[in-house]
Amino acid sequence: MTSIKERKIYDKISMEEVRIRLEEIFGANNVSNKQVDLYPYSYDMTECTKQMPDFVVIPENKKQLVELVKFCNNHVIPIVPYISGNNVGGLTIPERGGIIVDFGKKMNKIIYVDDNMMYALLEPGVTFGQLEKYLENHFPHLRYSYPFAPPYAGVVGNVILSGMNNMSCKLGSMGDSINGIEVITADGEIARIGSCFYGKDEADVKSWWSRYPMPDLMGLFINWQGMSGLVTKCAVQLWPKPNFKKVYLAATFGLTDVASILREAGRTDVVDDISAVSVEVVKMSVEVPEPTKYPGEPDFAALLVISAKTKKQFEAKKEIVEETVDYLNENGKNIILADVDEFSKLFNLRVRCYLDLPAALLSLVEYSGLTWFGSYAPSHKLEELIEKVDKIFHKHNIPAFIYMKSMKSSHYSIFRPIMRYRKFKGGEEERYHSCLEEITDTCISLGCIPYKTPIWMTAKLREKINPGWLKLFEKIKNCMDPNNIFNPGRWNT
Amino acid sequence: MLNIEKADDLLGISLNNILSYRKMDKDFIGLVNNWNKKIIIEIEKFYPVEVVFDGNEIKFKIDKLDKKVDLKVKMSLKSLLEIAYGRLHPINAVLKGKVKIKGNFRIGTVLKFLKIFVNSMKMVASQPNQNYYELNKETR
Amino acid sequence: MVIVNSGIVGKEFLEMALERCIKCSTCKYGYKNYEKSCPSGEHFLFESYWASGRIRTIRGVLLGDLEWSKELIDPIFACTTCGACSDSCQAPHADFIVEMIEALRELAVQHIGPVKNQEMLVSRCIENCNPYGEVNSTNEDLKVKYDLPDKAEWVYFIGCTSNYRQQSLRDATLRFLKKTRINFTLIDEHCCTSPMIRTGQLSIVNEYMNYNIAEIKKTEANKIITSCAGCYRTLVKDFKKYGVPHNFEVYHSLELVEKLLDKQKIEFGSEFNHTVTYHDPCHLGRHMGIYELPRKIYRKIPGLKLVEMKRNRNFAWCCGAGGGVKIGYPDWAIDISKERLEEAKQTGASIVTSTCPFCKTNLQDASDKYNFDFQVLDLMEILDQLEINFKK
Repeated sequence: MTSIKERKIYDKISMEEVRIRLEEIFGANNVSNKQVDLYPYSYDMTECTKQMPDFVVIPENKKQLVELVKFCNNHVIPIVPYISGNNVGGLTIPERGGIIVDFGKKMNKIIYVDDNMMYALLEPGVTFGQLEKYLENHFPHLRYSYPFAPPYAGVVGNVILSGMNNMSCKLGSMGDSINGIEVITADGEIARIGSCFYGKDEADVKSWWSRYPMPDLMGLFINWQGMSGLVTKCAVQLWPKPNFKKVYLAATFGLTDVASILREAGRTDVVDDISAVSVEVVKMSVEVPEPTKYPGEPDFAALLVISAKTKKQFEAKKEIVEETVDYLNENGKNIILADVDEFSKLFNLRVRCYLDLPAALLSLVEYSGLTWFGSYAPSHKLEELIEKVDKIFHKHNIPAFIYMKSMKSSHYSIFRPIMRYRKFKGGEEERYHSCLEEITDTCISLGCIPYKTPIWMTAKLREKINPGWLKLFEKIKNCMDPNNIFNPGRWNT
Repeated sequence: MLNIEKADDLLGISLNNILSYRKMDKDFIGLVNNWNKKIIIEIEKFYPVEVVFDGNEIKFKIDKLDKKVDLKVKMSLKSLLEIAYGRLHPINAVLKGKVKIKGNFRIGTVLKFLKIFVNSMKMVASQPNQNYYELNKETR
Repeated sequence: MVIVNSGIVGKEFLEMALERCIKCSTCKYGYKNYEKSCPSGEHFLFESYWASGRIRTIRGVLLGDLEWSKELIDPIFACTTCGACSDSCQAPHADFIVEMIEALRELAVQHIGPVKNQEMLVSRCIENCNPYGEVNSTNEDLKVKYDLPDKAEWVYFIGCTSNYRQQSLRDATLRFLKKTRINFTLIDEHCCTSPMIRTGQLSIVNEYMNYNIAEIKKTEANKIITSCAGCYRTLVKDFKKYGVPHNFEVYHSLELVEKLLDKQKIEFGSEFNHTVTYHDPCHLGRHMGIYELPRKIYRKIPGLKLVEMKRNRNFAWCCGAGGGVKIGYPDWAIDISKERLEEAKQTGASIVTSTCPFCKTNLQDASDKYNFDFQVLDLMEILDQLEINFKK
């Protein structure tokens, strides 16, 4: 059996009483405390330590959740939100036991899509695949932005954790494209945040059109990893689908040349998305699971997405990108630009998963474990980051899997060294964790800020963060959640 | 049947992808079988790759390339894509210097090289399937 | 280092559960189609009831994190092994998920036994050579009725469901085969062992497989034909896996029909004026990759209007009978079929057709219970209603 952290919850109220109450709230079929049912929620793909929850519940509506929160606050029982457990950071592992709230199974409705103001109002369990299909069927002229993740990952989880998606060079963090949320706070109150805040009862579905300009309470819930309340609705922005869209491949020769294309192409303001992967990742996607980089191969492959309303606009954007590449080549860089549709057919169609997000990417799903240092990074440090992290990978004899993005016209970047490994092969998890720790220390020292952080990582961050921020963070957390029932343990609370 | 080596370098993976397309084609097998030639292909900026036709096997070498080969072909990636997608005729490409043929080659070898590689590339380029998962549905 | 008992037939698949699967959840829905595809997960909801959850259960029992107890029964056995998860998964272990679940069941049977009623599959076989518990038929009466020889080029392997529950399908196939004048015969069949394999109860599998092979060899046949998707899959894939390889060519009856149509050896002399929708049996579709062949045949039948359900081919919703669910969870099995029939209703079809007697049984049971008013017919039964001219 997995270890259960010592806690005092069930001293004052028995587990049996808790089970009875949960069944009253959710119905017997939606509550389980069977070990076999709890076990899949006790760990994820990362090397984060297993912790068994005490219960898992499947809610259908916010009324049930209000009762749950009041009950748990009263008895100091932890609540951990869960959609599909696809975060690479241990965020849904119940550090202090308690109750897993599985939103993914029933609270997964697309409530409303507004064509005029271009947003979708979603329950927390809606997945990317579900949203993509819905838009294709009902609003084919609108699009959403999808991450480097499988179709079954949660949309709301991605936005409230500041995910980065395939329009991020244009839009920046997905946390910037939330119009409104509805949350349940620790006292069981329901708060609507954003333009939907009008009205004493339910908000009109047409009222979720803006985050601003009232005092911005949304920040109390974004990136809080479920520590400040339960999100029960979220309105995410949609965008018009362009008439013309093409993806170009920029192969860079020279370990750090890719940093230039990320920065410069991002700054042109004509590219929807730029993401780059090390050449090892290209090979992983075509069934070379433990690839080697050979001399003479490009070091990185970047995908540049250009879209436009008209052909003329498209050609103009394309010209700007081509000129940018020419300029970089004239200044000592080594970059080849090619049409990715043409390239991928001749190379191997399996790479097209990178163009067809959300997708199950072989490079991520190869083994039984996946972990990473996923971070927001200062763009001017990319060369140094690439060099140092590449060395660390080689030192540990692990294929270098580096994923980078240019965000919001190169205002900042994403830097994400990734590792796939066999979770249960003797010593492997420790070896990869050791590599990851070294990468973490290096990247943090260069100013990177990890998102979706496991607790061992936040422990390192805390050593570096200014005391003022930490104090304010603790104050707000204590104010929002005095009994520390919401995902306790995250950020070492 | 042909045995085409499974490579793990970028160009080898590509060449395997292109040549495997016609692996079961009788005409292609007839062309390739016992051709017994060594061809070096250089894509600019990339590393050279030697393609070895040996009986019913096709292999790829990326280091310790043979000094004496039957043909050396050099082009840019741009030219390769233009040929594959029918925007540039291979003979014109040679005449315009966009495809450089090096060494003491025989016309027959060059023409056969075009038949094997260029035709295969064009066939792969013209297949309608864009998505791997659709291509793979019934055969996996 | 986890060591799996080498006596477990599915050992390599249990070990695979430790090597693969990050629980990306791609298995939960049709890939890129996003339709519901997993009857077990959709019904029970908790993670343990989806493919990735079952893989975690394998890990749990192998690592000692989960103790064997009766509470493991439903997560392990409440699954039709339809293979929808396998079709959706894009990871290297995708093709082996059903094998992993069967291996888990094999292990579970040793520790906690199968679902209660599933034990009858074996006890009935021991008594009567078939999981229905019907008095065993040596098929000699059928041989006499259809004037079949003792030795022939083909053996028609009827299968227990056709022989004891769907005799109209059996007889339609026999009549068809007679008219084609192919040289075929019957054997004294034991169960093909598919129900036992799917429920992890392997005690009689080897014996029965060897028995059936021996009986076929007696006829000097080199070809086997069957109209049951389950028997087909078992004969093609499982005999070899369970250590009883054979050299027989195995055909599903629709393969013969298609061949005859292609060579213009048969001609339809009448029409079948109905709107028909085809249900892809899991054991023929996802497990064996046969989707277009039946459709090609249906489209050649004059008057027949073939319409597709929303979830078709590799995205087809399971009928609910397979994997031991029909006997282990009978009400749920019918409810799974109910969902399928609701989908069929949307097509406007009056007939639901399939190429598996087990699908036919469960779909008909659901149609009757929930008053859907569908006629559920196998392809061979449809052909039996037509005037067919057989040319030499």
